[in-house]
Amino acid sequence: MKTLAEISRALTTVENRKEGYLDLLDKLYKQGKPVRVIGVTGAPGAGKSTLVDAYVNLLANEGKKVAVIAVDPSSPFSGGALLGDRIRMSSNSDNIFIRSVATRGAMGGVSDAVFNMIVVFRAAGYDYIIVETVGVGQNEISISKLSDLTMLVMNPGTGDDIQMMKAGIMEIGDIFVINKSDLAGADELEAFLKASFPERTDKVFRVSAKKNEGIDQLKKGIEAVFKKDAELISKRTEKILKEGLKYLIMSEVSRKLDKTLSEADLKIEEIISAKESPYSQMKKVLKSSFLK
Amino acid sequence: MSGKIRVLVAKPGLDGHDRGAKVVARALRDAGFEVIYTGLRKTPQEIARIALEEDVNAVGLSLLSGAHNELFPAVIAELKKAGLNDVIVFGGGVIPEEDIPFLKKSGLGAVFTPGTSLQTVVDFVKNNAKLR
Ligand code: B12
Ligand SMILES: Nc1nc2c(ncn2[C@@H]2O[C@H](COP(=O)(O)OP(=O)(O)OP(=O)(O)O)[C@@H](O)[C@H]2O)c(=O)[nH]1
Ligand SMILES: [Mg+2]
Repeated sequence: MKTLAEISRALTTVENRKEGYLDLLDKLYKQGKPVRVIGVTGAPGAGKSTLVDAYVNLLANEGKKVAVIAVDPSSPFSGGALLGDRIRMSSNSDNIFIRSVATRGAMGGVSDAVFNMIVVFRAAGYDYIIVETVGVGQNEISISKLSDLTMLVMNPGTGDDIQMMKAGIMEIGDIFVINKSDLAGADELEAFLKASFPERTDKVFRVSAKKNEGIDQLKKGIEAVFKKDAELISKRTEKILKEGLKYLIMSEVSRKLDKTLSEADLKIEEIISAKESPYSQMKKVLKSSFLK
Repeated sequence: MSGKIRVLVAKPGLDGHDRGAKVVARALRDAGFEVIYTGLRKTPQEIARIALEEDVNAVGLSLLSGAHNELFPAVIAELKKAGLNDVIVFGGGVIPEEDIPFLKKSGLGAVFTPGTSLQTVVDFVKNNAKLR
């Protein structure tokens, strides 16, 4: 897997679970070298894509190979998706590969697809993988469980910080980024974060992604976390693999479950006439399925 | 297998009219496609690179500025250069009737001008884009 076309096609194979995709992943996993996976999360419109663009450009200029996985929700009504993160990503360095991913409403979220795509990029020799998701709800939190380090992007003057604290989202951030610091209220948000998380005062960064300000400091801050917290991060690797494995099992089970449900011979007549109960039927179906 | 047709909606060149592109992108999403929108002012090279990275099945180009006779064929040439030979290319915008035969000969599967119903666009993608 050397060319962009090959990488791209492998991502599709994995995302669509085409025949043989697990064998492909099995092979790619063994080829992989260590890579830094950074999750970027935050409220809709917080400037995640703009920030990712500025940050990955810095990395690419240093000669690092960077992959971006930008996740947006699928419409629950049509199953379609409008993937718009690229609008803010102007990078056209050869070192950067951006892939937009829709959540496709799968059980367990897109977590297993993202985990598998990370395996593909790892095997393709990328140094960094950045995963952008919207930070509300269950799926996004589980993606942070797949990252070595998670950046939580916030904005001054929105009051979102209080909401996020209530929802427990703050806990997933290793690094707090106050984006849009060109707007009023950055001082207050910085003071609030430092007071709320006194042990993490060195992990709060003020940037303006749009004006490309403060990104260099942020990048240095991220390097420092990787160095200083190396032990913590290597412990996290174990957790990540455990989570990843769980997502894989969940998604295989859910696919088999879908198949079982669609093939199940449900005898509703028998239930209507009370010859059988829903409960005895349920037991029968399970007995003849992979769940026996 | 649970694949989805992926469509890139792209704005080549300096044209800043983006309503049509956004309306079409939304209609395609509502029809169940996964749509990637590039945003404004992409070069033909950038569009081909994005199509490659996103592994799309179709590329829809939008242009209202009048530069379609240059930019549409240029995008098609870049897509070919990138090896994307099985990608369906179509387009829309303010395009005079008399330019359409030339554009189709250049490789555009269809051209949709102002007033086209969105269902027509959706049907074109449904009938022509194929999962790999
Ligand atoms: C609104 C508008 C603007 C707005 C744009 C707002 C925006 N963000 O989009 C503003 C005021 C900013 C603007 C500016 C200009 N405009 Co103007 N504008 C229009 C206008 C009146 C309507 C366009 C529109 O939004 N239509 C509504 C959308 C939904 O329709 P649509 O884009 O045509 O899309 C439909 C189809 O074309 C097709 N389609 C379009 N794209 C795609 C893509 C795909 C993949 C598919 C399948 C289909 C498809 O499907 C859509 C649904 O039916 C047109 C005139 C007209 N009647 O078309 C002039 C027009 C496009 N503008 C024109 C001009 C000259 C300009 C300016 C240069 C004016 C100036 N001198 O400053 C600037 C340039 C701006 C720039 N940076 O490029 C000319 C272009 C002339 C030409 N082609 O030869 C037009 C045709 C007016 C005219 N008759 O002279 N404009
Ligand atoms: N003033 C200001 N605006 C910014 C800054 N960064 C991003 N923006 C603007 O914020 C808006 C949203 O930016 P995006 O990068 O798309 O935000 P996002 O968090 O990726 O959005 P979603 O992916 O839709 O959740 C855009 O209009 C950006 O131009 C900044 O530093 N300052
Ligand atoms: Mg975004």
